[in-house]
Amino acid sequence: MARTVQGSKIIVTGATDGIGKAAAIALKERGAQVLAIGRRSPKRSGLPRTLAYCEADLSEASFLETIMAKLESLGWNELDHLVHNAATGYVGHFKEEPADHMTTQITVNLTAPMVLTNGLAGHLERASGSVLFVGSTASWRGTPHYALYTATKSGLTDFARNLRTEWKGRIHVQEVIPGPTRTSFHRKSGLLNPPLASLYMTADEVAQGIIKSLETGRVKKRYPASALIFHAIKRSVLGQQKSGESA
Amino acid sequence: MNVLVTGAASGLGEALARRAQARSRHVIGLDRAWPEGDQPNDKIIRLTRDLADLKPGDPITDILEHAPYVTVILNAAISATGPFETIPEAVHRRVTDVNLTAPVLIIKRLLEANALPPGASIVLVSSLSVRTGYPGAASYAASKAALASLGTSMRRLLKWEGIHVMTVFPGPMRTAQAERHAPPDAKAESRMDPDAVARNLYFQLDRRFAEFVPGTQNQLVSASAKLAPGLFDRIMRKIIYDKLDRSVY
Repeated sequence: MARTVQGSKIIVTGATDGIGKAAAIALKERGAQVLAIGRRSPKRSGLPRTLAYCEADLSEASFLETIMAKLESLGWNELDHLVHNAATGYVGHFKEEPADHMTTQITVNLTAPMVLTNGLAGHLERASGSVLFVGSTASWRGTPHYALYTATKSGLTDFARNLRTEWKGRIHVQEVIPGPTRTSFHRKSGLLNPPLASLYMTADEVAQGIIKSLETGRVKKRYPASALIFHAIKRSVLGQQKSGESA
Repeated sequence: MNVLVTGAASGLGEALARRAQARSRHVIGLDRAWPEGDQPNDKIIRLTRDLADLKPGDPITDILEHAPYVTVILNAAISATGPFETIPEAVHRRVTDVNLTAPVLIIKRLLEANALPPGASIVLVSSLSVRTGYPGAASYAASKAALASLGTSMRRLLKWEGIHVMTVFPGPMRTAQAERHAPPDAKAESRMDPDAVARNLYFQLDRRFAEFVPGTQNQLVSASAKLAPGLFDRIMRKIIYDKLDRSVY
């Protein structure tokens, strides 16, 4: 189902930072109509004004209504792609993570993508569109100090698997599973000096992977450790900027 | 030697509570409702709460009152079956709240309160659906996959504190809940007896197994699904999803 993203109506969650921001901007540059979702105020989103923006906190119960109202104001009755990128994490002992952060993590990383997909199923079906989940290579590995984050991402992967089977022939379900990426995610999670950070892929590289998946219809794109090395060499050879966070 | 079992009023939870009692444990059962009247010889301490309402910061004093626990079995779960988009978002939220958020908050609070001494065990009841796929119950399956992943991480984290974490992947059982959510022509006799699963669970727990699938047939299914997940997705769609004639939640 190869098709270009040009002219497509696309929602990207978690679009004010990291991979989501890079994807939203790159999609816009490719000619897509992008609705960026973030919890920051429009002034603080850091996004170009040419991008449609909706301020919605996915940890709040009312976020779906907010997004639906925005879609109505834009006159979007159908949706070509829904990119679930928003996520939050915590590094540390399980018992030390504040309880309200735990519930926020489950809601933002797992429940909100389910709720948003549920609410937009009609929009996606009308366009024979696709829903793309951004997973994590940490899933299933057993990460003692990242336990809840990897649990939510494993849940998301399983959700994508079953939804793909259910929606076969109606709505395409895709996954992009990046490894560690150079964004502010680690710092926000409490990991100030992630090991081997210079090898991490950049948000732009992962964003290009997302766009390629949307255009080719690839079901699952996983970045193994070898991909990190490949991209690090590519950056070195091409002399691309090595510096860090995209937000 | 106290044992906590969530979802203990019926099905697998009831079988687990009964067997724990037979093993001379003091059993604290938790469920959102209990059958009227006492069962003969039933000395289970009954706690009543709906885990969907458990909020962050809840001190769970009713549970901690009976600490320390030698075994905590987080078994309570609800399901929602039918085409994903036909099930209201509030139901999907509730499924995640009961099946994932509640166990997370209970474990955190028990650890915080030092209610699990060295040598204690946490048992997470996941589902065979993690291995086979379960189209028609996408939010339920996601919550069980998340729970299984949590078990893998927590096992590595808590072994240094002498606490064992075991994850169980039961297949369909002869319970009222399974009956409610099964396709109309599903054969109840092909499902496992919850008491057999409970017996199997304690046997494995005594040997400190990390994870297991109860029942030889389910073990074969699990191993096959691991080898050919795509094939199993198609099979599960055919034998379950295509036969669901209504949404149940």
